[in-house]
Amino acid sequence: MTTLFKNLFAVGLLFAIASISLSCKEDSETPAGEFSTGVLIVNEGAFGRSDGSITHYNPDSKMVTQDIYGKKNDGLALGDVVQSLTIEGDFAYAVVNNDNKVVVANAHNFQMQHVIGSVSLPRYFTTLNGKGYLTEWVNFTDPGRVAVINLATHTVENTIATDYGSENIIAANGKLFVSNNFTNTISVVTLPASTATIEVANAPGDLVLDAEGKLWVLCGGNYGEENASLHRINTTTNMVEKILELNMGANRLAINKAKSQLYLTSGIQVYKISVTDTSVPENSFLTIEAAVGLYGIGVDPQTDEIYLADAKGFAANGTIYRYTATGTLVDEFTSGKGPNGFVFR
Amino acid sequence: MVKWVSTFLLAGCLLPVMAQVDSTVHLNEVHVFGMPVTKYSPGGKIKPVSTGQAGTLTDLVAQQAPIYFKIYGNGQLATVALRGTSATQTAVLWNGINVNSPTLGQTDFSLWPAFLLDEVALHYGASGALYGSDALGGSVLLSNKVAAYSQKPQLVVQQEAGSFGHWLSGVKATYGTQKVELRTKAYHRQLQNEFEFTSPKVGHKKKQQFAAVDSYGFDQQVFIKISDAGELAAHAQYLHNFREVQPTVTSNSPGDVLQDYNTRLALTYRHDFASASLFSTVGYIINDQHYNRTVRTLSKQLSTLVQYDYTLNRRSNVRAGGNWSRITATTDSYATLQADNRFDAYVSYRYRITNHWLTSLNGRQAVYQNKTAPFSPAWGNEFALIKNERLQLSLRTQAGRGYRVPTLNDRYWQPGGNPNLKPESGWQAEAGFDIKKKANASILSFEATHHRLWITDWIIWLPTQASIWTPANLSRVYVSGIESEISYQLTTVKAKWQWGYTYAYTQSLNKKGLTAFDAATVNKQLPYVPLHALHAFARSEFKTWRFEITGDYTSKRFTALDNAAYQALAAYVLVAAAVDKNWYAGKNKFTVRCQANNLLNTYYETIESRAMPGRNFLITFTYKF
Repeated sequence: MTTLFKNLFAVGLLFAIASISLSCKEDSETPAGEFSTGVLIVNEGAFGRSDGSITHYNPDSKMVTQDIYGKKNDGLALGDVVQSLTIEGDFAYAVVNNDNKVVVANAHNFQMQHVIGSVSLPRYFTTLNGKGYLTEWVNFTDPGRVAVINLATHTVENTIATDYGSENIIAANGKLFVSNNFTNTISVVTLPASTATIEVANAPGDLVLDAEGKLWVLCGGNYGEENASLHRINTTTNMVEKILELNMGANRLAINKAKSQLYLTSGIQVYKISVTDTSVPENSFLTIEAAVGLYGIGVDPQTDEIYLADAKGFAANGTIYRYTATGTLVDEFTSGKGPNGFVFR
Repeated sequence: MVKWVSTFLLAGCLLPVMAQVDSTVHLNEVHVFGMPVTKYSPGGKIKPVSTGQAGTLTDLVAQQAPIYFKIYGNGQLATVALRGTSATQTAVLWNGINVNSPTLGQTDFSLWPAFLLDEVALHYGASGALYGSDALGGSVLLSNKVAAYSQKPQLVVQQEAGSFGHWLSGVKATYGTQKVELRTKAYHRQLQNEFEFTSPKVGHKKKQQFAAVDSYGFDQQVFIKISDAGELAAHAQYLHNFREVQPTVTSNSPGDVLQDYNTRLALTYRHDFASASLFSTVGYIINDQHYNRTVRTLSKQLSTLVQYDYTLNRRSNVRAGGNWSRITATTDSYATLQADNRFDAYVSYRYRITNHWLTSLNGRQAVYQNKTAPFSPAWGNEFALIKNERLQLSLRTQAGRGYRVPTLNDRYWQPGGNPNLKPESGWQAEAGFDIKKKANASILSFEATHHRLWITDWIIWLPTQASIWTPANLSRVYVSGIESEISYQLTTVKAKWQWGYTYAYTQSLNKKGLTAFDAATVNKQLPYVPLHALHAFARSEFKTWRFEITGDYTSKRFTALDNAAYQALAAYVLVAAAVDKNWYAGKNKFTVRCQANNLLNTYYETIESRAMPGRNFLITFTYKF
């Protein structure tokens, strides 16, 4: 009897929710929410603590809201090692590496919508022509892959084999470029499933596109050796056109609003390099003396402001530094644990 | 004289928490280097831990004192930190040998089954002078019972069955002659561990998976009375522990698999002279850990110790000793096999200045790999202000230093290991008092201790400019705290009653930022150190029945050094109850113990996102002959 009542209640509730959401869709095409504007900070969290989170920052009021996903979902944890966040339409895709899942939330209010399981050590996500593409390390002994995600059903349709440690992914020129972090290669996926390989230097990671549509790859080099490099790839010919040896360690890469200036982080320094430069400037653009180590960088595509994330060695919550394009500090605030990236709404 | 003094010390220091209800019962006297541990540590706080219960060393300690363990799930990795320090700042001694892992510098308490342990004691506070490296927050002493040479064979057979597929079968046998005593122990423990939990982080009831544990072990002790004055003892132990590393609450996938193979051997010789005794030991410890069946960390430790204890006169004793250890270790992350040679020399002096004042001075100097550890002195005093049948009041003070030699990982891990690290060092001072009031049928005990500890050169791993993680002597920490205990026991014609509590207030503050500009972490409580911890108990014995109820309160714990409140782990209360019933038939004793843990079914975590089980039950059958 009680069960029957519960079921009836649940069915009734479903109808109520369905009618509300239908009416919403009719009313406005893009429902604005608390988090439809501003800056989202991805805090990957400490490994094995399931304390990854998203921080929201309002650049106008400078108001900071920690763990927006937990707040909007009754304390649910996003998971263990939130590697990246991608917004596509009304959905936010949070890629949770060590939980082998992608959490799909409403991009405006961050209420949980779906969980894509059945993926293995996922890293980054992008979309192209109405489909989602998710890189997966798979494990530490087999080559990585790209999972093709049906954005309507939020299920994995098929996978495309790439190389070891498939990391960042970017769509350019109708193709997908994947940096294979455990190797020295970039995989180029021409859809539906043909792949080519471009050889770069060891540990390719962040990928950005410049104003001319050229792809820039930051290669970290050998771990412990200060030999990072930048590679420029022609996305039509898949050829490496330019290599800039950095003679230092470097971990993150971003590009300015005009897509003409590259920013890269090395320890607590930020270097600024023009896409036309033939060598790396001797002096850093910024040095964040108070930081332990920079772990993320982003440029606001509207204001050209630079956001830097200090992960504080995961011992304490991170600190975010906000600078103008000319290098003046605008604001400084605390994020969650292990901030590694930014999403600008 | 010595006997009298040690009895007095035990009465003053150990009585309040002793498990035995009857004050005439022989106390749980713990020996290290063949001596009662209290002999050269007047003024120090040493507590015996009653053994013979189910579970692991974690359970023994946690069920008797408000000491915080980081437990990575049920039956999983468990590390202890005494007095607001870290797991690496707790020395664990087995037969007088430091058995902290030379690579990690800490002990996993879940790898020590309670079934194999004879005597356990906790020595609170920094005592580098007595125990050498790692003794900053405190020391855990694991020792053997003194041989009785009783010739009476004894047999104990134990079977445990508990929630979540817990099974333990164990057997202990003691046999021998007037000259030889042999003790053999063996056990096998299984834990399926599919408990249900309701973490707010998950939002629905979830069944824990991939957290099974399976372990077995053998333990052999041989005591040979060579002469009236000389005794040779051998102790051999082999333990195997297989475990699936319990994944975090949000994970739905299997985690890592860890297999630990621990071999421990100790050969000791003790000789008593007219007014002196000689004690020497040789130990060999092998820790072999297999990570995911492929990555192997192997360490071998050879330790030797010689110690001479001399009674100068009625009032004073002196002890001098030295030890040498050679440690080697290999892992995938070391360039080559790494070796460490350590030499320690120490001296202790104890003097009974008056019948009411006992003092002791200790000092130790250690040298390792051509480096010098901080010289560690200790000075303790005990003042017996009132000493009569009805009332005893004593004051104690202790001051000293502790240190921690950097682990092999700290020094040699590739990349990042820093061979130039200095040892961590801490100065400690404590003072306290003990009161014992006896009436015709009751004993009331109370004690309180205030302690302070200043640690410098605390080793922290942080990323460098080139994003390589490397350790540095970065932090300074200041700990101050209060510990207090009350115990009351009442003996009536029909029953014995006892109740009490132990409380610890621990403020452990970070005093130096992660960088020169970092103020956010300064003067903040260290993560995973509860400010308040309380353990309360009530017991009663009635004929062949014994009842016990315990309650534990642990206040919130921060998970980050900047003390963000929204990330703190919630405070929790745990309540447990047990009933024992004994049956006697001639020489045979049969005991059934029924135990219920976490009666309130509290969801709690001791380390972020590792679930701990709710209400659970354990039944133990013990047959003794």
